[in-house]
Amino acid sequence: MTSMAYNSAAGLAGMLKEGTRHFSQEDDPTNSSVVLRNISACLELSRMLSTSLGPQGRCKLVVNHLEKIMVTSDCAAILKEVEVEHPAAKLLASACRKQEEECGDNTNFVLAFAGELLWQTAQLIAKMTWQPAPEILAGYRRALDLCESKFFPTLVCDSVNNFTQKDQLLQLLRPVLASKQYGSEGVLAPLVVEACLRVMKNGRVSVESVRTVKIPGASVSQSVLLDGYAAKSGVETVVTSVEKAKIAVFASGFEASSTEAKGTVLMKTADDLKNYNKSEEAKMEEIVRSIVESGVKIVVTGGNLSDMALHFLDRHQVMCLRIGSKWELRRLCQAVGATALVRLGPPTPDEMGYCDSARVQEMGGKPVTIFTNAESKLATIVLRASTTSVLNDLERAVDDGVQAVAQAAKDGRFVYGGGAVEMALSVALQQEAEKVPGLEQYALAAFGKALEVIPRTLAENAGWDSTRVLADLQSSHASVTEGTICDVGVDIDRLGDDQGSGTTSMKEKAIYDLLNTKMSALRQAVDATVTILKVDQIIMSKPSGGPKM
Amino acid sequence: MTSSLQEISPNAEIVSKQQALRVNTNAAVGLMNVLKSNLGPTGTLKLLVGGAGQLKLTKDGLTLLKEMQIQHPTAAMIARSATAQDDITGDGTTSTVLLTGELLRLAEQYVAEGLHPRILTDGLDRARDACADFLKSDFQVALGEDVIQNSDVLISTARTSLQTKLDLALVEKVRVARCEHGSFAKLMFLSLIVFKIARAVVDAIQTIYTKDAPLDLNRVEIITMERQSAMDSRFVRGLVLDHGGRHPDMPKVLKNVHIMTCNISLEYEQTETQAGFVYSTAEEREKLVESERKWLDERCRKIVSFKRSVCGPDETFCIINQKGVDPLSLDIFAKEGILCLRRAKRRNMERLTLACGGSPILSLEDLDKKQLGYAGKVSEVSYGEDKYTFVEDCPNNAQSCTLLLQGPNELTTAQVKDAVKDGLRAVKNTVEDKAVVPGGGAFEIAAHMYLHEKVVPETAGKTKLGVQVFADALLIIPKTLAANAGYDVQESILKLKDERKATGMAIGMNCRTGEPMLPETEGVWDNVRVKRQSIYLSTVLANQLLLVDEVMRAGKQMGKPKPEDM
Repeated sequence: MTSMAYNSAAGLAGMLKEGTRHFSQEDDPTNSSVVLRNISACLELSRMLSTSLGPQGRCKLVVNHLEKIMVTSDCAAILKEVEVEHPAAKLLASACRKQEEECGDNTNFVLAFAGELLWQTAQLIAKMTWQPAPEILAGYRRALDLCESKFFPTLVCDSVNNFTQKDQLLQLLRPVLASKQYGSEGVLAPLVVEACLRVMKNGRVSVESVRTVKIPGASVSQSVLLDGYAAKSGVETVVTSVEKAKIAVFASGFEASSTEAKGTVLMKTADDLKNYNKSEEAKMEEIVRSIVESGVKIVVTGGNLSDMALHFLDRHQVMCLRIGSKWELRRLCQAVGATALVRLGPPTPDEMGYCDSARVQEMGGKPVTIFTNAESKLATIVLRASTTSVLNDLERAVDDGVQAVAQAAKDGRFVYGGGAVEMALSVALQQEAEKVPGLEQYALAAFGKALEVIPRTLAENAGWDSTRVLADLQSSHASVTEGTICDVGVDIDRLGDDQGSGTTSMKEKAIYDLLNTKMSALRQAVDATVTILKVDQIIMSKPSGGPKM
Repeated sequence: MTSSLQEISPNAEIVSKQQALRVNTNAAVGLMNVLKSNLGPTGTLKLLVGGAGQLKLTKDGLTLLKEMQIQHPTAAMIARSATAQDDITGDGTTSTVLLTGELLRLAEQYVAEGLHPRILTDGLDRARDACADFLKSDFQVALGEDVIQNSDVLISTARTSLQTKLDLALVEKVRVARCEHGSFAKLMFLSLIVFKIARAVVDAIQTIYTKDAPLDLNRVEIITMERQSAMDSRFVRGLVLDHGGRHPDMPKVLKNVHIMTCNISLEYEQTETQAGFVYSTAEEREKLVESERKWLDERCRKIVSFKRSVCGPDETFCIINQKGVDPLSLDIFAKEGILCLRRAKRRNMERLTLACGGSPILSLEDLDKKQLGYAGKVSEVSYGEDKYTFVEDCPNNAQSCTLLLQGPNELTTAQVKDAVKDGLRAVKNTVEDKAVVPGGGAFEIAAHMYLHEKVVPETAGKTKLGVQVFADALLIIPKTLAANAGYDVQESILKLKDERKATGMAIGMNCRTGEPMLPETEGVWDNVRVKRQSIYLSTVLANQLLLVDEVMRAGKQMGKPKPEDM
């Protein structure tokens, strides 16, 4: 008589709406508890992307749901396109996204480290009960705390203090760009440094002030930096090049004004028609003349440009450009120091912008209008490369570079890159662990062990025997004398022979990382890991529509 | 089993007598087992995945029950009633479900032995009343009339509530912090984040408190931002709006600001009737365009001249308008150095006048300085794509304020937001009850012992059994606390009981050590009304379910749910 709806044996699943899925450790206490299953899902994601870690990381070809093809080794970009479905893996992906938003770099670090830390936890769990004891989680927190307050400060090897020093910034940027665009960093780094120095205000760099324009064709080495703004469109008028010109920017369209309410022209005779057109023309000419008389040589409009207006502008030898996007228009205003006007009419002197030169140039078969201004607080990097996917990748690299400079402007401390700092932390933590009683000891040791994933992956990706490299690294870092910093890291340049040891001095190679970015990545990774480990049940509603998971 | 009902309606499903009770008990116990692991500060989290794949991390009983889409009739009934608990008191959902489940579980044994449910329910009712009396007369700690000034107790209550909702509490750096509050001037282990948020919550309640008026929690705006960490959440004496000025030249930071809160249209309004212009030359058209603008320009000019008349040197002006403002008008204001926000939310308009003073301006006639509010600082901040406007440093008599919650991702902010809402309720309850209950299972232990020692002997006949069931069921709370903290249940309970017997004080369970503690000195306080409501609600639920002898589902067959394997 009892129907399934009242089936007492069905447990929670019998109570919930049809199609709901429920995972908890009680289902299967032996080997596939929720925690372990979550760990394995995250591990899957992290292992998948670990081959893209570092300068020698391989690229992934991602075809997204719109069939857009992307070739990149940028972890954040890949994660954006790969639609992660597993709830726990989603948590991890969101930690990466946060890192990308806050620091713009080290996203793969978050993923690789969190994955490894989860793996280490899984091994600890195998030795204990199903649930990660609170002590383990507290231990991870403690390890993070130790890294932040105790170990990191001792590992700072250098800092940028003078931002007018190009060399210092170059030193910093090269590894950042190398990890995204290995081989092109020599070209890109000076461009980014130069761009950042131009737009720097009171020692701060606004990420928005450095723009990129992607133009297919030529090669990376032909990328250039412009002082000012480049619009990816030609001009409407006959005049295509002006020197030392004042600029009027109109947020509105450049056309005859119209009433909000519907307007009707009343005409009784043919003469009326003729006269009406004449009056329109006269009005427009008056406006254009008044603008020209104020000294303006370039007009930029955000809306429509009527044919009649164009005619008069041409007649007065004014250059006119149409920029459709509100944001682009705002950037141009920033570059030339103009105020966008909402009413058609001559601008006041302080509303006018100024540029040293404005000209239309052909790049890769497309007209580009370039406004240059020595005083400009905006810099544009024109990127050139053979395909759009490379261009997109270059753009991401440049963005990350600018982010790095912006971060350095906040906190300019460096640590050694190339896995050196991770190794140092790892060794220090494992030594520290031995002094701690209780379960926390295992947590600290696991944390330290997990940090090894970075040098190991770097070595693997560079084609070394990772076990050997790791052993070498470990011994150099363990034997470091008190008060000095060991700078031995993974040598990513394998020069075609097997002679090298796989390790090298990071100081000589000048490979550095920003302390701030590393710390933030570590924090994100630990946050994500701890959250994932704290979940003991997953309750999934029936997916509403769309393809099934 | 045949039933007369089936002759009437062949599709009806029936579960009757013993089986009905079993179905109900199983559902209640099942629900209890689901929520069990979430109780208390050491409870674990549940990850809820919604229909569209959206994630929610929670350990809040209410959120769980709401989002779980329960279909089993009995379970749904318990869940719905338990959410009513939240509507009334803002807390105690998990406890109510647990208590209901335990009551039924224990009662079932007696019913199985042949005891009539009615006798049991009589006993439960008696025990409940005795328990409520005990709470009221013996156990609760009265706080007196000026409870709102009593920051230490308020913070402790908020902390107790927050601790059970935020998983961050456990993992965030736990530091030995010095707590400088009157009787609590001692070293305490506390989670900084919970302390910080609890502080903010109490600040908020103290801000909106007015004597002799009910506390209106709507006066506290809760705004979330996805950045930095939850540690950066704070109390803002003023308002945070989630939009900014819509003109690039408007000032970003203003000091000593007159705030004009208004609901005035500053954009072109379409006429109600069909209307149009007729013109025959461009000049005429220009004139019409101008005249169309004239009306608006006039209004803007009025505001500008008003601004000039009220603003002294070093004073600035900010317009916050509920209706729209068109770009041309914005331009006029930008030129005057006025920050103008358009399309503000209605509820924020009310809060603004409460926070900054002044009154909403609905017409531009007879503008008066008295209608303006004041804020020490107004600043516009943009994080990524989102813009926020902070109206801060409002006068001291502000009646509205904001809790700014931050967190690295949506999951965290959502969790903190839910927790803060409950925290606000907890403090509100304390202020209104003018009393608190020692927490950490202290009340349950004490009530259990009281019922066994005093009430059971005084009760005659089989009703005694009901009282016993109730007394034993109460222990589910400390038991679960102990289990979740990873300690041996029986041992912990015995320790608590012994301690209570020996000292006669309120003894709770320390979820960090598993040892007995004095909630009073640790600052673990629960709300009186939460406890009372929880006792009443779970007894009512248990009674109703015990008295059910048939479950019927008439009408159409709904299709059998297939338990999907994972």
